[in-house]
Amino acid sequence: MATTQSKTNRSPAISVSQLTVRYPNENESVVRNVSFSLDRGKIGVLLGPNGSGKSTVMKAMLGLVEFVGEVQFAGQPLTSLQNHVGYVPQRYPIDKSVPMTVSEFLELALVTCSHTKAEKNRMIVSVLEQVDLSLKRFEKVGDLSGGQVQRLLLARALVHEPEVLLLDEPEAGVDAEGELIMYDLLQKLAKDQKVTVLLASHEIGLVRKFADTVFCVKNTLVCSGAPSQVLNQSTFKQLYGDGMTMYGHDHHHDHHHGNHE
Amino acid sequence: MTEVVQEFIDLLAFSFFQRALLAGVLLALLAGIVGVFTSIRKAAFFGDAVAHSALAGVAIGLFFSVDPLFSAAVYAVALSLLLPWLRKQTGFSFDSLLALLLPVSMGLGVIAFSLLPGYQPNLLSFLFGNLLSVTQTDMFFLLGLAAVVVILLPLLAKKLLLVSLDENQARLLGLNIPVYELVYHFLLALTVVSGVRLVGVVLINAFLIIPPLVVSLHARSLKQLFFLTPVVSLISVLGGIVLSVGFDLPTGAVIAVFAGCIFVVSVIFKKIRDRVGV
Repeated sequence: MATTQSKTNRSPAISVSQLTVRYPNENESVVRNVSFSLDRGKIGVLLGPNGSGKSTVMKAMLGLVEFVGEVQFAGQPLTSLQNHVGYVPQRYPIDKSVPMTVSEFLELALVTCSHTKAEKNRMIVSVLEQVDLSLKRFEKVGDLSGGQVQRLLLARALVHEPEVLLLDEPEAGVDAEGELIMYDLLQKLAKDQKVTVLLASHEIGLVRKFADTVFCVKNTLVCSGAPSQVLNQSTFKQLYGDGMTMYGHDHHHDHHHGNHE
Repeated sequence: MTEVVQEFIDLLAFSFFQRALLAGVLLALLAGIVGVFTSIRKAAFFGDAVAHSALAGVAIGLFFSVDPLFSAAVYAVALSLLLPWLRKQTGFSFDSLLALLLPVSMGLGVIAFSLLPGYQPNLLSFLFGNLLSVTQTDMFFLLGLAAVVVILLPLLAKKLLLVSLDENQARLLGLNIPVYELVYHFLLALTVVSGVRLVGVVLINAFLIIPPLVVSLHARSLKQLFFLTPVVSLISVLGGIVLSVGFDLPTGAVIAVFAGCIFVVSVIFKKIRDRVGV
């Protein structure tokens, strides 16, 4: 036990080694030999164009697709850490015509908990406060805005107080203001609660501002490092091709983000 | 209208009618619950395919002189188990496999019926239901199934709901997905079979699908969806039975049409409500 404990303390929060994913009936690997690690309390971004395999890396890390290689969270495989890893999918995963309140959505994330109903309610109230959705607790999820839905998904991931958060393009379907609120929240979680955050994204401007480490993915790991080192013209060409030019910009958030592809 | 009600009251004195009524109530409540899961899983076609396939089970039962409800239950459950296995082996979608199994099972049922000696009026009653055909065995079957649902539901409902709504999240929480899938498929197959006598294989899906759709139009929470769907289902069944008796029409067909009318009224009501902004 002591050995496991010391290993856990020394190990990076996220460690991915030689991860390869090949879907059935496909000859080419979607992702091949991706290796990286991220320390506790840091924000890392898997950056790459659509179809580059960054979402697949994330799904493999969670065991949602079959893969070859090794994935560890604080030195442990995912099976033993289910509630220590939170996941925010790209979109609200449930058909919005299914009537469900915000509270009911979060209750479903607690179905495996042995807590009492009162304790579960307390957890829900607390996490909704954290993402600033307290007033929406009994609202229908279908009536929420894109940004509010994204924060609800974050709340679901946070309800178990995870040590690691994985977010798959959290800016999808969210307006500029919603994006900023989300990223500020993630920065606060990493700084104050030492939550390790890994995002899949193609938003270079936001990555430049919020990430500690960038992992450039185009089916394999193209490069990695601090945003200031990695985000240059040569990396951009590697990821998005010769015909495109990188444009960085300060974020005033009076506009909507377009794709950089 | 008073004549219809009077006829209904007179019929209440007969044991066959009491049986049919009780079967209708039990079926409405069961289908109301299982139908919510079918509706949120977008598995309407699956319910339909299982129902149609039950015809093969019925015919096989009649052929071997076994209670047709029993053989239909075995056939429907076997089909429910076969589907996920076939999907894993072939990689085809559920829809494609259902489209394959449905005509094969229907064909098998019709062949088995044609091999039975003599004239078979049973075929029509199994296709479209018959109020008079509900037997004591059917009642016990329904009561047994209702007991299973009453015991299972408080234990499994929320986990089953999560598996039905968001499989990835369920997997991340460590739920054993195949076990919950199996429970759902079992409940669906048995509910469908239990309704075959009353409403028939062609119309049973109306029980499963229309009530949750009606409630989804107005409900604001899962709680409302789960509590109101069996109520709408019950109204459809009782209303359908009263009208079918009063106007001497086939029960299953009247229940399906009556439920359809409730849906149409519900859509109009929603439109008006949205316009007024209430």
